[in-house]
Amino acid sequence: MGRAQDLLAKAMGNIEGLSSNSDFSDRCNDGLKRLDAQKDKFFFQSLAGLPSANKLFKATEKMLADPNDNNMSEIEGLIQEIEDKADAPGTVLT
Amino acid sequence: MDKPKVYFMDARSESPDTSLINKTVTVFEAAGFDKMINKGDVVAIKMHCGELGSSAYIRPAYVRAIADKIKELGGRPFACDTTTQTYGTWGSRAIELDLLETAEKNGFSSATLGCPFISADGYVGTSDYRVDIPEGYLLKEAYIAQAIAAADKVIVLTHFKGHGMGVIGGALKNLGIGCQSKRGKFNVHMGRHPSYGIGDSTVFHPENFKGKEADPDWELLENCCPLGLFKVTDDDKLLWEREKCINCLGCGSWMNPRGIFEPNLANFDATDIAIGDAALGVIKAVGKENIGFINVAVDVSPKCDCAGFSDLPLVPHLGVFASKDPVAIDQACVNAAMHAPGTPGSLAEEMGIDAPGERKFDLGGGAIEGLSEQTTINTAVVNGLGSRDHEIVHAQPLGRDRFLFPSDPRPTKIRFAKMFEKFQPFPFDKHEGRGYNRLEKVDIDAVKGHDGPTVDPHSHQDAAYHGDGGWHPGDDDPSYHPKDGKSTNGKPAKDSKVKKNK
Repeated sequence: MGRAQDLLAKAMGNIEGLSSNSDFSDRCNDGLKRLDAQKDKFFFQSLAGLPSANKLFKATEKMLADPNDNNMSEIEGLIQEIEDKADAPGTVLT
Repeated sequence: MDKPKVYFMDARSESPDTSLINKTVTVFEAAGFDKMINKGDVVAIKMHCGELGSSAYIRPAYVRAIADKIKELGGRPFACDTTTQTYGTWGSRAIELDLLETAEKNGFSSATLGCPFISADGYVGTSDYRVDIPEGYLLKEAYIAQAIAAADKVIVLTHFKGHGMGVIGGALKNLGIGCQSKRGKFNVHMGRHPSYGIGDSTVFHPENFKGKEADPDWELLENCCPLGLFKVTDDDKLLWEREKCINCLGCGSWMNPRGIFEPNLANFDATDIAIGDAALGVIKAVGKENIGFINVAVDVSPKCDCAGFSDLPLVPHLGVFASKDPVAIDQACVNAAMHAPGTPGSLAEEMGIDAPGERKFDLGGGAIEGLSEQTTINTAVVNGLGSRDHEIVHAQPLGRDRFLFPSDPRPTKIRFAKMFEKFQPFPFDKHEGRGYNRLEKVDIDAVKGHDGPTVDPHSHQDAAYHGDGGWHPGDDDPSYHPKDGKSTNGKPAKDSKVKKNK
């Protein structure tokens, strides 16, 4: 598993842990579903997805330490960013 | 054996003789390059003029300073770069015509450099000199750009940065790719190599092509190859004559993101090895005693100047380095970057490599995972080109007298006193010798607040300029008066005034 996929898997693990918090369980489950659709894409098999995976991982760590609406919104924003970037053509690889 | 010396000056600057440009000249001398150049020598300055759109490439002023120094020593300098492979669909340096146009757009011309800028490998990129390199780890021959092989002396003046394929873009990359002709670059990139060539080794997934209707750029999949090796059939199949691929890299940026190509680590690794061997080829063509290296490690962008953009630097400016050993100088730069903190908000932070001590280029430079910032350097150790071990020597500033304005080094009074007697720029004859119409005193603190001014914008009724287009009390030119007393467009001063009818 590449570094980006590895970090994404850790981030998803964190979100899964957070889903036991009843205040955020619906949003966490929705986020997990959205990430599940992205995780096997080429974006995360390459280094192109590493910055996004890293940011998401850090955001989930922050949320674990301090579960609040702002931190959850940041995670959702990053999931949206991943969805926007993962299929974008022209990623520089050479 | 003594370790090779790497002469270094950091990026701090607090006086003209510690400007980064003058530090570049200082390390040139400290490394003894001035003693290498004889009167009448033709000296190639190998630099990278930057792909159009990039902005971190070496500034022309650095090249100019070295060219001036070479002329001062009696040499005849020329600056040069080489044509590229057709690696970008809209590449801006692929033939001499493109290269010279791009160089001029990026600021490199005889007017700015004080010497000609030329394409070292001719119009197409086939003007070259073949050398055998039996010591090579992978390559056994190299094709050196003709103008570089023909020069008496060579200064390899490199902007040190990251690189998507080479991982680092330092002196070795400037030799192993930058000094190779286009023909030589195909060799280094493993064109038609049985194990590492893209045609032979890439895992191809044509099934990931979604068809013409779903892929609006499908025509570019056909048109990205200079040999026309890709074809989209009427029934939406993507075909590739892979056995003919010459490794120009033109297809990668279209095929990779679609998952049609898997990242080809073997090709990238082999190319990084070949760069180290091809670098040795340049040394063999020119002669070790005839070549010196300067790395300007500022604007250390993640990707190379061959990309048409420049991202935020991975690390702050590191400084300038000079050495006779291309391996030692690159290792010194890699070490300096590793020990530096990553730039906040940069790719270094996003990749999680921003802490001092983290390697900056394996992930920050390389385009695919698994590359190493040491591959080229280590290869150049194996083939005997140089040494990773080195001694850093801190070069000392040469003093202000060495960097006077060369066109007129006389001090101010001698230059300007007579001129000012004839053409006095200060209006001594106005406002009782004070020269200008200004208020005697204002509340200075009122405009220093970080939260904004503490006076009303129009509270200074006697101010010479209100900013509202109104009349300027005290303006002593009687031939002007306000147009209708106010401006219609809000523009003040001259825009709002008309000549008074007499």
